[in-house]
Amino acid sequence: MAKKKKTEQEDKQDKANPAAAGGKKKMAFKARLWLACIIVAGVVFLPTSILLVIGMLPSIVAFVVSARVSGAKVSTITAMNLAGCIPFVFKLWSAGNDFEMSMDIVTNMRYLSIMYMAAAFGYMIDWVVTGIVSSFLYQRGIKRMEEIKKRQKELKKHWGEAVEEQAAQNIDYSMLEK
Amino acid sequence: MSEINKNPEQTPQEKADKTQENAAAPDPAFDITSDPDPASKDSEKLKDDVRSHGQQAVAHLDGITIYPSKRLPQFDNGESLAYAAVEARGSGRKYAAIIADKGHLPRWASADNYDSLADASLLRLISHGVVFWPSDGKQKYAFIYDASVGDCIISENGMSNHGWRQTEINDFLITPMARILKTMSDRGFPHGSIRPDNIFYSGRNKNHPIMLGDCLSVFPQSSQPALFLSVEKASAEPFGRGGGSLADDIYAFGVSLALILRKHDELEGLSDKEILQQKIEYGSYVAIVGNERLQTRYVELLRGLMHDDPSQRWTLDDIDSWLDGSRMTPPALIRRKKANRPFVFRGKKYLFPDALALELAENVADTLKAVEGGELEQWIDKAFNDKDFSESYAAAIERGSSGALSSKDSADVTVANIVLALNPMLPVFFKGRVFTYDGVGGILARTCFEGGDTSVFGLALQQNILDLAASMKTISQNEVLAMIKSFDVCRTILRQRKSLNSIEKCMYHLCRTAPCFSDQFKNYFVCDAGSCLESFEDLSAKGGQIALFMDQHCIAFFSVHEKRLIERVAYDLGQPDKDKQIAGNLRFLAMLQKKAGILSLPAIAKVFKDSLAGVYTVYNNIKLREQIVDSVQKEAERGNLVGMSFLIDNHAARQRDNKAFQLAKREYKILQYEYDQYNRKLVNKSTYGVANGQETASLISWVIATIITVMSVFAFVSGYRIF
Repeated sequence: MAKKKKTEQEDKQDKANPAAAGGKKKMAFKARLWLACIIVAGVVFLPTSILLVIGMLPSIVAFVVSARVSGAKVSTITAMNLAGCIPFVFKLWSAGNDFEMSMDIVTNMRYLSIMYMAAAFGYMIDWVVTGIVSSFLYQRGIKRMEEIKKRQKELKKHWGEAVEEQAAQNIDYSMLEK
Repeated sequence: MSEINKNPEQTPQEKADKTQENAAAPDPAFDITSDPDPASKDSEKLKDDVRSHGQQAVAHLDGITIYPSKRLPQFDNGESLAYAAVEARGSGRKYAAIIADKGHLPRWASADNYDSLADASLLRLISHGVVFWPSDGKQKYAFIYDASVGDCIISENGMSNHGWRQTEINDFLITPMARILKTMSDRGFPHGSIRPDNIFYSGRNKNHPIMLGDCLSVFPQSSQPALFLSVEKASAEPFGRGGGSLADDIYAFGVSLALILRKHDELEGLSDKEILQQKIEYGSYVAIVGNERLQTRYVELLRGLMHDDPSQRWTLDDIDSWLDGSRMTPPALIRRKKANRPFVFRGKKYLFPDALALELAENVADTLKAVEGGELEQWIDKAFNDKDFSESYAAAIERGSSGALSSKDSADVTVANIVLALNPMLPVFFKGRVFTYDGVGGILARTCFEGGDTSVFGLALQQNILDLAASMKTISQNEVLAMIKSFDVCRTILRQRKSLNSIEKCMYHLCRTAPCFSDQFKNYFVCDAGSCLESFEDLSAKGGQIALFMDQHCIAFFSVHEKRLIERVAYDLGQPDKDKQIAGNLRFLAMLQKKAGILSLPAIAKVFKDSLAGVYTVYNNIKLREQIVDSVQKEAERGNLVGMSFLIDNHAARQRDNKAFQLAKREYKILQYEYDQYNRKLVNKSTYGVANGQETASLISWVIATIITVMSVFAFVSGYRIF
């Protein structure tokens, strides 16, 4: 009975928002398609795939836990991790892209640490740049607030308290947001 | 205008003090007041009078000194008394100044019209204007005439000693009088004061045409004894007799001529009421001439001039024809309506409804009993056998009973209508007041001046009693329509419930010669823009004046006399906001200053200067406001109300200021919104800008990754091995 009720509710939601309902199905299809493509490509280029899967493990982990980490951070780690993997991909391809060479690379701790260090460097870039940028923006915000107060003081000096009172009375944020 | 008023910094009292000082000093004018003969007794007598009574103060008007201690009673006109006046400079000519109080409703507005008449038989008007009357300590209106005329045509015992023969009567009295009446009639200007004691010989020698005396110092016909008035006018109160007409002047001339020609006084010992009753009973000619034996020619003339029906009364053309020697047909006598049996009212028998009407009017309670008992209706229906008369009576009863009136008002309306139905020649008798259809303005103004109950006249207007009275008179249809139109305007004013001063507005509308009766002008005579400003200036100089100059009376007065100007400020004057009222007052007084051409009014300007603090707030920009305050203060020091008003009401500047203020408000609002946003976001410092930082980091890392990839590609293509 409860299940039937839930189904009815879902139906109602689907009826109320058919685009959302349709969109969810579409996404699932797309994801399946991508997965299929990746699997096909992975099978076709198996040595390279093995190298990338193992070399890009930090990015995969970051992606998996992306619910807690922002997309931009994942992107930063992935970019640097990929930059660390690319020379080894070329190395593999120059060696004929065979399975053995792929295994040699992924089992070589030096190579593997280079790939993972690149990912760590990405993480570091994120930490440093985010700190610098947010601090800069915060200071800029404080300065802007001071400027606003100064300008409002000037307006009051020119027009009196009425300019503030009437502004406070009739403030319409929605209009301003537009 | 008087010298006192031309200097606004000097109060009337100060002026009076100054004039007292002047009068105490040897004044060459005293020598000129009397005959040119230096040994003249008059001159000495005048000086003695002045000294003995201690009334050394004099009044001044346009370079003429008026001596309140020297009366000239022969030039008095009713309550307006005449005094000796002398030209202070130049020829030192003698004049007669007739001084009118506000309550006399002098005809100040008609003075220029009178001056332009230029008839040799009219007293020459030398000057007129407001003067400060020192003995009463208030302003009055003075009319100064050339006093070089002879004695009055009638002596103190009421008999004339002219000694003229018939041709001389025609040449010296009737011809000039006919000419004067013609001249005045052409200008639409009735005299209203034609009577023997206001007619003078033009010189010491009687062999010259007469001179007609003053008519400006009193409301038309208000100073006339009942004898010189037709039945309708004589029944009315002095100020309720209307503005007068040519027919009224002809009637007064007829009575005057009869008195001048008579050898015996037939009316000796009779009161005004008895004369009136005789006029109703026997007609004016018989009542006045009686058994006097006059030449047939004059009998013909007098019958024509004194005819009780204005429509049958002789006209100026008839008088000209008579003067040319034509034999005129005497006008038919009025046929009075006579009952076949008498009506007994208050123990007296009446056969004539016109005579009964007068008694009914004076005894409202008894009249109502007769109406309610049906005796009056029965008498009218059966004793006359006149269907129209019966219908007229029934309509009068119906008019009284209609409308949402109290029983007292209804009774008064009923009696007023019945009186008019019984005798259309009578004026309106309503709630103890008696006035003609065109006299309501005058009596309303006088009542207002005396502080009496003016609501009576409002009710008379609303109940259309005046319209009925006008329509029953034998006057032209155009005249009736003009009167009804005027009453309609008043009724519209009375219907405006918002207006607090509706009856005053009606008063000023119906009586154009009424000066402003505002309480603040108790001691001032305000009749135009100039006198109003000078009075306000004087009041302001005394101190205690507030910037709300225009009270309800002033607004009512100027809504009639300066309608266009008052309409421009009516909105502001009616606002509950005091500052808006002050701004309206300033704007209106500035318009008056411009109109009157008075350059400086420093005391009024100071009152405004001290009261404008709230008015400046119409400007939002503080710097601009400060500049305007400075400029207004400079203009106030110069007494320039026009400049002050312009600065405060500069429409273009206000519009610019308002526009800029709107933009400033909008900017402030946007800034406040932005500030609030920052305030909200910057509360958590650890999260602020992190998203932007991460995006930047992502961008940087992708750039680095791209560079490494490109380098790797180049290495791969070139065969170089990194690892």
